Amino acid sequence: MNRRVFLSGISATALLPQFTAAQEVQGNSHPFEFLRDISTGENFRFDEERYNLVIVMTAQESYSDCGGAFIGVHQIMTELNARDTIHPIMIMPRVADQSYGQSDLRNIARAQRSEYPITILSGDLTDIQAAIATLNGAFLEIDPQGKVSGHTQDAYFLTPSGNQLLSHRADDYFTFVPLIDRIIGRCYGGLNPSCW
Amino acid sequence: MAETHSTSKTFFHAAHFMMYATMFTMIAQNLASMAVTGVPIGLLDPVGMLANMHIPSVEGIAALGEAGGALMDAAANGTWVTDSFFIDPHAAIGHAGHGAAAVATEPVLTDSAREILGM
Repeated sequence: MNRRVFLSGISATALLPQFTAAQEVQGNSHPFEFLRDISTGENFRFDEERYNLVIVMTAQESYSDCGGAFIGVHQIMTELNARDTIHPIMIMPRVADQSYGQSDLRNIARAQRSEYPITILSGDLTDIQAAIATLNGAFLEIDPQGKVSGHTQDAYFLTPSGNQLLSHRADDYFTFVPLIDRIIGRCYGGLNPSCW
Repeated sequence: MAETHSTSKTFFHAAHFMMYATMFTMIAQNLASMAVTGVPIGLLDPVGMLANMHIPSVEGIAALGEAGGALMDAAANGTWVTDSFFIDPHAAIGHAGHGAAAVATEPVLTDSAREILGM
C-alpha cells in the first residue's frame, strides 16, 4: 500500500456517518409504532439507546434458509457484543395473513428462543406493508389469495428512531458485522479509526 | 564393494520369525487348554481374547459413531446446536464447537399474542 492509498482510506473512513444514539433521536415517532409487540400486546416503543437490527419474516418457514437470518442476527449481536447497543426486531405479518396458516410457526419459535431477545412486531397487513415500505428494498410476496408467501431476506440496520443506515443479506454476517461496526464503533477488526 | 546388510532381507527374516512365533503360540495355547481343561480352544481364540482386552467394545465404538452421526444429521437437517437454531450449510461456515440440541418448532403464545396474530 502506498501513501496515497493509505491516506485515501483514512479519509474515506473518517467521512462515514458516525451516529450516536443521543445525537440522532428526534421526536418520539418511529415507523414501526403502529405495529404491536406480540409479547406485550402493546404498540412498539423504540429504545433511544439502541439501534435497530430488523429482519422481515413470516411465522412460516417460507424458504429453506430462513434459519440463516436468525444465525446472522445472533452472530452480529455476539461478535459486536451488542446486547446494549442493538435491538433485534422481527417484523412479521399475522399468522392469519400468511399462506401456510397455523401449520407452520417455527420462525416465531426461533425468535423466542434467541439468546438475544428478538422483538416480534405484527399487525394488520396494511400496517405491516407501511412499516416495510420505510425499509429500502424490503418486500413481501403475496400469493393470488392475498396471503403472504414470502419476504425479503435482507436485514436492515436502523437508527434508534427508525432511519435506515444500511441493509444487507441477513445471513451474510461476515460482511454485515464490519459494516455495522463502522457505525457503532465496536472496533471489530480494527476498522474504526477511533479505535486506533 | 563390501556387501551391506539388506533392509528388505532383515524384514523378510523378521516377518517370518513373527509368523512362526505366532503359530507356535497359538498351537501351544490350544494344547495347554486341552491339557488343563480338556477343552480345545480354537486357534484364533487367543487372538480374540487379546482383542477384547485391548480394543474398545463394539458397543463403545458404535456409540462414538452414533454421536458423530447425530452431529452430522443435526447439521444437515438444520438443527443449530447449542442455540436451537436451524442452520443451513453455508451459514455453518465458521461455526465450530457446537453440540446437538432439539429443534424447537412450536412457539409459546399468550392469548394476547394469538389475538394479535389472528389465531
